[in-house]
Amino acid sequence: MHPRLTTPLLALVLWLQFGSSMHAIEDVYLEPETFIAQSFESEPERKVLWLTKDLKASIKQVLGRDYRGMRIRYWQQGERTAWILEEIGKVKLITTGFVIEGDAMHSMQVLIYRESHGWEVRYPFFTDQFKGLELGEKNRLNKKIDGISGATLSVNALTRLSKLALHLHKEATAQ
Amino acid sequence: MKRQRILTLLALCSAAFVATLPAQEAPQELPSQAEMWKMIQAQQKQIEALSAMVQANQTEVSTTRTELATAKTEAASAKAEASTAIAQLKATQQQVEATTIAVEEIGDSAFNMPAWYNNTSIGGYGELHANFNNGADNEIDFHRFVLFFNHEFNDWISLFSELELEHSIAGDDQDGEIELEQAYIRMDWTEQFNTDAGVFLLPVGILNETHEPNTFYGVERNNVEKYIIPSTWWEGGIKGTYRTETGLTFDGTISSGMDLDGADGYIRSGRQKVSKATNDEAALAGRVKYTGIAGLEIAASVLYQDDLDQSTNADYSGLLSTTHIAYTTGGFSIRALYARWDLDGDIASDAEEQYGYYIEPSYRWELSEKYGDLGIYARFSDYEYFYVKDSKNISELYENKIYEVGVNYWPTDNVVFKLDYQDTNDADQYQKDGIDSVVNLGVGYQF
Repeated sequence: MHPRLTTPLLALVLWLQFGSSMHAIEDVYLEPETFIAQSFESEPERKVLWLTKDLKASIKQVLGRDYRGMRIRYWQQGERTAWILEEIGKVKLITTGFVIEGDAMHSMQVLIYRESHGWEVRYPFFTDQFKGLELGEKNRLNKKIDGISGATLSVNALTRLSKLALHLHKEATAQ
Repeated sequence: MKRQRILTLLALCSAAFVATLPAQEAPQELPSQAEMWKMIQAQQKQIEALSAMVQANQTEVSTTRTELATAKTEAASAKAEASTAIAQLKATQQQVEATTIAVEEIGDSAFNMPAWYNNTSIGGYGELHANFNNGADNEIDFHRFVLFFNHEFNDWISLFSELELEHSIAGDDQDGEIELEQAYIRMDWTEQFNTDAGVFLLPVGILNETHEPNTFYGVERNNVEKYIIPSTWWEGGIKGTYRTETGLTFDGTISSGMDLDGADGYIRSGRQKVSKATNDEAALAGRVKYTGIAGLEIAASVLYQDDLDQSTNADYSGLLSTTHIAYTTGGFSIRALYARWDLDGDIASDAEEQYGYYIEPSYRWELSEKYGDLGIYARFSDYEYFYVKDSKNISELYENKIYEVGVNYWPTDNVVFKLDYQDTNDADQYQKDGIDSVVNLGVGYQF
């Protein structure tokens, strides 16, 4: 390699070696257990929603595709439920936590993000848009989510998941 | 026996009573024997009735006791059965739980696929274009077929790659080629800082890094980014990215650079595509980007290379400056981009400044949950670039203004159909071929 390229490369590598803290960190921004603990004032009841034939059909309408699995875990305390759901953004799964109370979205947090672009979706300037979301007729949300340039697919995935969480909350609290 | 005792007792009492009568009731007349016998018989009947009642009560009590004992036994039995049922229910629940977990694990592991299956993901996109040129031959081309292969080595080291087949067929005397546009190792050192090492897309412009067909308007990628930046542009090297919670991102790259190799000033021809590329001059690039408001992106980039023509004696530097804004609120979006190259050194004066900009407002509606979205856009592009053919017989500055309108239809988020019309009357690039306008049709997908 030519010295004119090698020198800056070495400088960058050295900077990485000593400039950064050099400790590996997971791409887990918030542990699911911590998210659940933060979402309730006291220990919530841990529940399971079994995916019956009818429920799978309604989920397909909301999500636009089949949802894998036999059941979905959730946590409940009074009228508040919490859900941890996953959906592919561009090519990788995004793990997201939703808290719903009284049929409206209380909060949304991206717990694990694995895509190469679109990290903005985990910060409050994006996630705050989801507060107060409700699912109306024909599975439409009551407001439009503004996207992130370069992360269109991740934003779409999170929007779909928020619909799913609201739908599951309705189903679970009706039982 | 009990009855006889009672009768005997009554007879004795009656005899004693009769014996005392003369002393106590002397003045009264005593009952006769017959009357006495009647009285005794009457009392005998009362005694028998009472005795029957006592016996009946005793039987009733005995029966009740028996029934109570039976009930107690049955209750104990029922309790035991309930306890057994609860235990069986718990056992069944545990079995269901275990079965469900097993089924889910089988599903997750896709019937015992190897470990890499869970850590490797694939994706891709593609687009077919049909160009109807007013004044020249029409053309149809499956422009791009792209596959992504990504792999997570562990929780902080990943591979991202993009392999592309352009124009359907690659090989000798064919129009197409196979290109490795991306292949880099990403290391997430902290939540805020990561590095990419390998072949990556340079952080310049809007489309260079994000160019899946469903993410932009227009069948073809816009000419400003194509001929000025020039997208899609990738190099080999190292990139560092630092981001803050306020929405600021800083990117810095040091990489291989362009080699115009005698095509003095024609920027697009300088991409070496990291294919046995001349690597005597590094390119340094930096970008600052703000995305701290949902729907908004503002960015500015610079890239500098000391000598763009590495392979010849001609020596000239190049500085690329770009800035753009992309904003979406509700259905409305607007994109605007400006980019320019400043070349300095042994270069034709017409090639020293090459620039371009475009502005693109658009609006997108949701038709329905089932039928997807429809969007319309308009774009004005103004750009100048220096064109040199390899033979150097042609060498000129193309000045272009293009007016463009079009429609995108997304039946689902990852599939798009496109139609656009471009007025190219004021675009040298098209006028040299006698093309006054172009209608483009396209279909694209991503997965």
